[in-house]
Amino acid sequence: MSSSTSTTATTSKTINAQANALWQKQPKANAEFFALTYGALVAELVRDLEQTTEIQAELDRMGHSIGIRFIEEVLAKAPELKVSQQFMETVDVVKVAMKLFLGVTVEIVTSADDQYIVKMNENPLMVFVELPEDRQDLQYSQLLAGMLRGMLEMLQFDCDVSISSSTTTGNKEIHELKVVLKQVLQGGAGEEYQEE
Amino acid sequence: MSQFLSNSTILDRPVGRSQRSAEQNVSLSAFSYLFSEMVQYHQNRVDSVSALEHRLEAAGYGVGLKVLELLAYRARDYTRQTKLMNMLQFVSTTAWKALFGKAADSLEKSIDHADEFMIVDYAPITSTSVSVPADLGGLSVDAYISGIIAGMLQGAGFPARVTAHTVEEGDRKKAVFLVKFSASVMSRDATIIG
Repeated sequence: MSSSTSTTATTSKTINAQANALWQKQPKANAEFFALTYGALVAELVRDLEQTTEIQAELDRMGHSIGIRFIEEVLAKAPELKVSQQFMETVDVVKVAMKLFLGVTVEIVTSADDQYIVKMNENPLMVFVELPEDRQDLQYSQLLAGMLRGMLEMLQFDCDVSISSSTTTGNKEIHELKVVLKQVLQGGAGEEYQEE
Repeated sequence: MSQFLSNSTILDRPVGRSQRSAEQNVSLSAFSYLFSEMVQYHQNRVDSVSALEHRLEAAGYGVGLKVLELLAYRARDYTRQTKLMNMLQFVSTTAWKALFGKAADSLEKSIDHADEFMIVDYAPITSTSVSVPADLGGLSVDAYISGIIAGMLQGAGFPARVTAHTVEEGDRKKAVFLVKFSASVMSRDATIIG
């Protein structure tokens, strides 16, 4: 797979400007209220499921469910986004999506032909959160990972999305999501989105 | 002393006293999708509409307690409300603005019952993007907001039973949060001068 060249990829500045313009038009909700609601949900999962792996799996599943629907909104609001068979071009879609969803500008760094890292300077979900000693291994923001996975799946890319850094693991200041392509899905619903 | 505090915890991070952080936003879509997943999660674990509403209320209750603390901390004068009407004003204006971006549409007192009040909102954020299927008739997902109100009132020392109702007004619907204070609150309030 060829890496994107400057003639086909929109520049980072253009995409950020585009994302910001779209964000201005998005109906809003209070970020703290959103964070508290997510917290109530996670607390409920912890009470019901107890096992960290199960809690994370449920958050991931919920995120996936959100992602497969939210991608429609992203593509509808940003029709100029190129949806193609090039995995690396999903970077632009992810940037716009994260901005439209959370109002957060992300930086994306390509680490190989089939993977990239999504870096967030701020994570609205975790603004009031600190994990207790016995839950340090819980990836609290797993919902976001599931969401990216769901969105990319609708774009015909089957990926592994994991949280590679958060306030509890890795580099504690930055929140990062690692996206690794597993395989390109064949045909089906994606075809009408693809350009010739 | 400081050697025991070497690890930076969440208590060391600013909670955002500034208005700027309080006014940060995510998209309404983000909230709606999240809330939708929350409702579906609870829906799969209960087998009646009232049980689902109870779960949503319970979820909101914890949020209400926290919101009260957060708003009280942010208010420069740390005033604790002691009069019932002032507390209701706080909930329907200050708290509503913080959570939903605008004050509640109205705060009303019941004519029939001295211990009942209504907070009215024409477009509660929880139900504007939700459509309830016919077989769940009667479900009000606004129960989550009822829980938040109840949590705030409880935390402030005004225990009350809060329920959400959808009322038709002409050709539009409004959400009415009925707040019924416990007897202890009513009798105490009668003795407070001011």
